Amino acid sequence: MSARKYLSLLFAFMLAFALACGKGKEVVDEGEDDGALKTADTAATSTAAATPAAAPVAVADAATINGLVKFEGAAPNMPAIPMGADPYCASQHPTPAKDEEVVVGPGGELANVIVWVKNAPNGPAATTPAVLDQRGCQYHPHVQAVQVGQTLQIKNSDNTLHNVHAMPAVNSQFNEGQPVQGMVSEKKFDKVEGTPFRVKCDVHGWMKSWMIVLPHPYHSTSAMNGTFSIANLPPGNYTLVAWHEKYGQQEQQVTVGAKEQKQITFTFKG
Amino acid sequence: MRNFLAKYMPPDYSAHGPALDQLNAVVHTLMLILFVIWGLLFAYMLWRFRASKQPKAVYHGTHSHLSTYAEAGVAVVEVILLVGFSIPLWYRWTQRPEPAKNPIEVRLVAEQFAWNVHYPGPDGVFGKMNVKLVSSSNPLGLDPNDPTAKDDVVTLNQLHMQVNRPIIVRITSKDVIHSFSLPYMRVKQDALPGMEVPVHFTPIKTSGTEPWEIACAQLCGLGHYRMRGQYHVHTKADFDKWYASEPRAVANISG
Amino acid sequence: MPPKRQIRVGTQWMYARDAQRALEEAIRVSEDEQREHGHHVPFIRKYVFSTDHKWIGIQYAITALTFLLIGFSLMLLMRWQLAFPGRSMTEIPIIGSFLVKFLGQSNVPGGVMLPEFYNQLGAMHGTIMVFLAIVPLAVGAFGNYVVPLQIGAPDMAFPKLNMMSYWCYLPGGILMLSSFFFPGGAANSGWTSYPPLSIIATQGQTIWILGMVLLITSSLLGSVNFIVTIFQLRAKGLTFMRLPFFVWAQLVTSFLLLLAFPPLEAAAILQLMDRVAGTSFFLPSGLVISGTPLTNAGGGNPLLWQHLFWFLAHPEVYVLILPGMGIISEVIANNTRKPLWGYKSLVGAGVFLGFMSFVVWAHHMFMTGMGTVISAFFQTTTMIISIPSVIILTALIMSLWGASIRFTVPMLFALAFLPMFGIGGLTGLPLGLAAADIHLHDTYYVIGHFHYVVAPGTIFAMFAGIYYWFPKATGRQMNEKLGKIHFWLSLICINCVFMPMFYQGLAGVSRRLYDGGAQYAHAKPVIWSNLFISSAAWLLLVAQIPFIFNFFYSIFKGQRVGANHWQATTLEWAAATSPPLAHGNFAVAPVVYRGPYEYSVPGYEAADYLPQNVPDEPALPPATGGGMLGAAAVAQKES
Repeated sequence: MSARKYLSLLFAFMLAFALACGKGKEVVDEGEDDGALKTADTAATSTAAATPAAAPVAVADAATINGLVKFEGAAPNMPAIPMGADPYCASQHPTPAKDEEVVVGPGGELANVIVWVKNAPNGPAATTPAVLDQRGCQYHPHVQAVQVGQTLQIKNSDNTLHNVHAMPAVNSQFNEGQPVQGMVSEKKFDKVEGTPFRVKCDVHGWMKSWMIVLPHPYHSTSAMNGTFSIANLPPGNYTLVAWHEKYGQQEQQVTVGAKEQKQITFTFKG
Repeated sequence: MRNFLAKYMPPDYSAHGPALDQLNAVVHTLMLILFVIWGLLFAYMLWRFRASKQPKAVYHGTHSHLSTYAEAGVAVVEVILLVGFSIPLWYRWTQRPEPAKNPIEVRLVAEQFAWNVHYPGPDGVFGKMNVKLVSSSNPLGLDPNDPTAKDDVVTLNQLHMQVNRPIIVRITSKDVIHSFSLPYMRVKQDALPGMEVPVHFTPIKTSGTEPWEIACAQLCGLGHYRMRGQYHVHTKADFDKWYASEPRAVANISG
Repeated sequence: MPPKRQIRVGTQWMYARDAQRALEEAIRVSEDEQREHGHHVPFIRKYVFSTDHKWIGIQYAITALTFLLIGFSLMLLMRWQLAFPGRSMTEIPIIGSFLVKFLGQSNVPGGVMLPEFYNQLGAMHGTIMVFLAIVPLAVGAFGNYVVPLQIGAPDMAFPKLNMMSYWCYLPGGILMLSSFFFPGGAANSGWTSYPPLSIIATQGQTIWILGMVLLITSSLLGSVNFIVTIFQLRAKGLTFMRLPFFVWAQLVTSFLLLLAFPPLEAAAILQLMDRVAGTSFFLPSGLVISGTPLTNAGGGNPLLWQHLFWFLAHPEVYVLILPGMGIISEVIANNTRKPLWGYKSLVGAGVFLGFMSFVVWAHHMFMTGMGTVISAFFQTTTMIISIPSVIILTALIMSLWGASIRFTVPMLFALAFLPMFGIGGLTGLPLGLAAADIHLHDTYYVIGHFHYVVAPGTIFAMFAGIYYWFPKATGRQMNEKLGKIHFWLSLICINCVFMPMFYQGLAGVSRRLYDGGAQYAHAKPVIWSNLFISSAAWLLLVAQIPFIFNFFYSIFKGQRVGANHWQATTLEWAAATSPPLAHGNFAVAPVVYRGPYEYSVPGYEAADYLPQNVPDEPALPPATGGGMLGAAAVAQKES
């Protein structure tokens, strides 16, 4: 069938459909507010619009906590992920990717630890979206904290189907497919989660990410070199929590004064 | 008809497949004959008995008993299809291969949306499993402390078999119903949680470098359409090599 | 003995001319009464909560046709995704952007249909077509409108039950559709709703179950009513072997509904419990969903659902087809101008079909791991049930022998039904033989097979019925030219839609694939046909425009025709055109003297048809106009 012929055929269909649509109206769902998926373009524009003009409510005498997460003992040898199950994924990793459950830095630092302040005031609302990228059939970042009401952009950078299956305990679960490369879907959590929950992909069983929903912006995630930083914290007495998916949770009491630069160290034992 | 149908069907590389295709060819031949006879009769009557040619209808129509004979004929052919083909074929389909033929035995555990293949290893015994041990690095919940589990091999979406050697695939599911379908092998079996159903067949051709496909034939959720596994049919040497070199499942279990 | 040329009206004997006058008077009085006392029946009782079988039939027809269009539209959306997997719907000319907005960002983000939305469309297409469109159209609409008229009854046996049946159906349907608005959307586990998938599915599935409970209740109320009506309210002289085959078909159908639906209702409630109350009727031990053990699972069996479901759903297939066969029989007898060939064998086969339909259900489950004995049993019953189908089809085809065929629009649809149903039935053979089914199970071959039975089969029969009984309901005929355009376009398109599916199925392409099999190497040789099928499906929608237009146009502007426009013999044509609502159907209770299809009776030269209610004795004069049987056709003449 030539393209021209085909278009004329389609045109006939459209005409008919216009007539039929009046009848089919009740079937369809107008975009709902919660959990609405946005197109890549609209997401991009909304991000641009939301970019803050200035840092929000910068407390004049805010303190900063800088810290380090250390790992003691022999780093466990993480197995390679058998990505052969999906040839596309395997093709993205010339050297096999390793499981990201425990990532220990060169100097014995522990990455992927979520650190947050337990009893902080609610603080300003987040203005930039959090991002969860699916790239090379792995989640980037592997762990993160998001704020209540903060936009979470879930992005599929892979040319394969991913489904984002989030299993929060308090907020409602969702499970959405992203069949096409470049798709972005936007989510918001409107309730606080006490502990991190799993986000996984059912198509690629190895894909796992952890997320916690906090009422405030005072959180951080340890990098490859184990460092983390929590800024803009009003002075006060706090409980600092560090959480690792395998090694569990630790707490420390901290007191920060006005404009103080506090150094904290957490140590997890292997 | 056999050749005609073969044009439209995928290649058939299993020992039992040709008999099934044969049955399909016979059935489709019968269907075609019936349809052509009915169709010709129908078309003739539409032309012959149109109102402009036949203004007055005949009250009694036909007294012919032809249709009775035709119906009896259909019944007889159906009996032949059942007794001569389908029931014996199904009987053979459900018969386990003799142990003398040294079948490969594997477990196949489907889940949303992948196929876990579980080989017993050289000891021929599947290791103990426990739901509580299931994790992303231990999809079957294999007990690492069980001695029979030490040599087990678990692959994801990769099924390996040997040419001309029967394979018994014990099929089950972790979550919802899937269906294990190998179009080139003429094999299909639902994967039902809570049940382990064996299916057996013998591949008669090696797959070469490009592996063949395992398809899911039962709606299992949003990833159903791409729940695609692969299977490799090796020569004996290649299969043994693969089996020996594949890392043992317990080595992959983290934590 | 009364003198010749007199006929009996009620208990009186009178001359034909007098009888005709009396009848006209009766109709006038009845109309006056209606005019005068019209306000006694408030609008809401007359047209909303009506207890009149004819109006309920029309309510069913309009609602079911709307659902038919909705179900069809869902499929057209799916066909976009199958033709162009992953392509944005904004590429659709003219209406693309509107459509994307309409479907919402949560279903088609950026215009790309999500797999879970595709699954919702698939599940709802099946559910709507089977439970909300075809069964209500075949049984609710045609059964309600035609059966009491055909048996000479003033109404159904239980008019209020009849009203309740409709008012369970409509809320059930609306509830079902509303599930698209719930978080996670509508049910997405297929119309078969196999657990455990359906149990871990989103909330839409709960709504689906509640909707099903309403629909099942509606069907049960309706079927009891039909059975009692047909047993109790037949006109004097209308013995069972004088019943039109359509009434027989409705009777068998009602028994199927009555006996097969309760197990599904029970199963649906068990599934509801599994979903909301933490039971595990269908959940075996050791389930791990998405890496997490399902704590409440244990002791259940997913196969239990399949048995209960198919115990309904196979008889349901015959619920879908039998009323269609009934309609076809009426239309064929009328347009061949001769009796149906082998009426007794038709009835016998219909009843036998009904019985057998209860013992074939597990042929839908050959791939669940059946042993030889049970598979042999179900294969055998499946082969047995094909015999009555063959008998019915053969009888209908042989009815053409010696006919004088009038190619009216209803007849065209009825004639097309025969080969289409033939293809549907024949392709059931390889699926019914377990060994042949191994390759074809759950492929597009199955979809082609049952759609041939239901779409160009039953739906064509429904169209035949609409064109055939439209003059009875409205007093006007649908436009023949538009009808023929509708017929030919539909016939061509529908074959282009379903024929390639056999080809895809033989290639082994699984059904319910979001991308139509684009992932699979074995589907590569046939993948092009998805675009072909989709195009034909979209054209099929275009082909329905003449019908939709014709339907509404003809209600108001169609050519006026007499009460017995088709010169038919069965009792509904003895009632006045568009029989008045809430006033019974017949001015005088009809009496039946002969079988249903006395066309071209030898020795009777007055006309080529002899209605069931015309007495034997007098040789009646042909009427003055239009070949009407004058006064004999007692209640027919329009004033």
